Amino acid sequence: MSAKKSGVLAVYSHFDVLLDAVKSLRSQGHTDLVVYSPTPRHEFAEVMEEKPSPVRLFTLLGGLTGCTFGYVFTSFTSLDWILPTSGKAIVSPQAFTVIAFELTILFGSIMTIVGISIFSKLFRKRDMPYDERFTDDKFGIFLPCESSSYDEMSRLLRENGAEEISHD
Amino acid sequence: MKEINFKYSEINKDILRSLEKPGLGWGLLVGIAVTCVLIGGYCWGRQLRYGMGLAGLNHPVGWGVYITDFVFWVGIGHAGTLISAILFLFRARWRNAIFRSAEAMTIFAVMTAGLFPVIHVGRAWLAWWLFPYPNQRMLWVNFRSPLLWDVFAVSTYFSVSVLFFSLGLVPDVAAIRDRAKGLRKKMYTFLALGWTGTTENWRHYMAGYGFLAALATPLVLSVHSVVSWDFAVSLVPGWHSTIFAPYFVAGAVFSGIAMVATILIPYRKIFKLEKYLTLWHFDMMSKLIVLTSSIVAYSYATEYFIAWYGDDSFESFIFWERTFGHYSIPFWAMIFCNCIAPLPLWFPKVRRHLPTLFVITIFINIGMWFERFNIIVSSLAQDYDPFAWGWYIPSMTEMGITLGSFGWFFMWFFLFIKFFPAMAITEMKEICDPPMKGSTHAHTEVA
Repeated sequence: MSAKKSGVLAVYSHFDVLLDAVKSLRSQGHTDLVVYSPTPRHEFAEVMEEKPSPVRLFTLLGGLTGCTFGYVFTSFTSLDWILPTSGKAIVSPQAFTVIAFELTILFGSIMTIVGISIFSKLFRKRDMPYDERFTDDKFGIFLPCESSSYDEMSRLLRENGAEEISHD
Repeated sequence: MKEINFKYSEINKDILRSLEKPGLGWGLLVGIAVTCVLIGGYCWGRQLRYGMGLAGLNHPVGWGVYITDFVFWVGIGHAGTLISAILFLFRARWRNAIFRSAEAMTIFAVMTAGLFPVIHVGRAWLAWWLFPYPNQRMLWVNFRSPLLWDVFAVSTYFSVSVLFFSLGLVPDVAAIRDRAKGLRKKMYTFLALGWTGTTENWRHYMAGYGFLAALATPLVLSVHSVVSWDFAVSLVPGWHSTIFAPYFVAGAVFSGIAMVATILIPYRKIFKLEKYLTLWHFDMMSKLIVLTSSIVAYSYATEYFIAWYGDDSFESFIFWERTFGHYSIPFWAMIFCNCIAPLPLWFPKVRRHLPTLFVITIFINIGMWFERFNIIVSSLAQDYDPFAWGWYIPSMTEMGITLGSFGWFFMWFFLFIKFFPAMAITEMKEICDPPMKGSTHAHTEVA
């Protein structure tokens, strides 16, 4: 279990004020800030300068693994237990394509979930201050800092439109 | 068309109202569903005790109501992932209010469908032989058989649907967690998987959600195609057809959307969600019903045309018999329910008149069940050799199990709506203006 990060948490009611605050704080060098939002918004990608998520690599890896496994597994088992059926080829790639297709999707999906869990840090205890209204209609900014800087950061956040400010 | 007449701040409160203490009506509905499950369970128990003789199955009709039910329920399960994944990729905003219930319906429908191969094989305790696993007999399954493709298609569909559904629920479960108290809070905290809604959470979540939608889309099309190949790959007259895959997929979406509408019309009324689930949503669903009904009707016509034009005496005989022979009642029920009953939906007024729409969707559900019965039973009853013909009548055991399957499906759905929001909170907020201090608003006009 990780210890809670120290810093200041600000609550916002208005989305436009939040976006302006994020832009301003990041331009002042606070690029380690964390933003809370009840929904995903495309505006965040711009102001947070987000890069494409690496989850896509997990999806690709899972899909390729599933496809390969589908063909190899069906071919191996057909050769391991020879079952002649109506003169059909023992290894029938056309028929095995259905299995390979399904396993591509299955493995790709499972690996996508694994990727999301790793990068979104799911299945972990919360290590930052949080407000329960962030899943309702409030937005938030968490600014990590030492306890000695709490007053300075609180003032900075208030100047940037924060309505409520809290820290440990 | 502006259809968003709710505020960002009202969404949590309004939608989570459906999770409040249940009333007598809900208890009564669950009671009826559980009673049906018990009747079905009793019939299946008797079949396990006394054997398959209790089912009406016998030579030559070895596939009857159980396989009809299987195909029917897999079909019902198609609308969820269609609405959720395909409409997500097309950015169709009318999906947001209905996809959660449709996805839940998918899960429960496939859970119901999955019971039927197990019931149908008779010795249910050996059903796991369908799956390939290393065993002391050194046997493997036959991967060239469509039945094995079906095992993989349906189990993949179930697994991916559960993953997609569960992922979509996580932010909403976090919203419930943040309002709950006591034991409920503990339960939802566990289920929310530590979700906090940071932009990092959302970035990876949305990327992954998009990929899952992209993976689920071809999966939806493949599943009922594979189910159709259970029939089409064989040489039985009336089954051996190349149009079966698109015909079955269209039929599945048709029945699935109809079931979504059947469920959502009373749900909207009971939980007073008229603000969120508007007539526009039902209008869009009805248009999809009209489209798929037309494809299904066209497929019926194509089958008959090819049976005549192909000049194969066995093929044309079976289609003549389906229409005027021993099984003409299921045939005409199918034609009426699937091709004629949805015709009024061409008129906008009917699409927005919910009592009429509700009745039409019930007809479609019945019609699609008869479609599967018609295909499966009539072809087996009268294939090539007249000396091998035989008639099949469903037994009370089979009908009891069918009733039980409806109870099983609705039981899970009723339980679901009391523990999870049947309308997606996050997605409803996505199509709504967030609170703004300035005059500039994010553009949220409905496409």
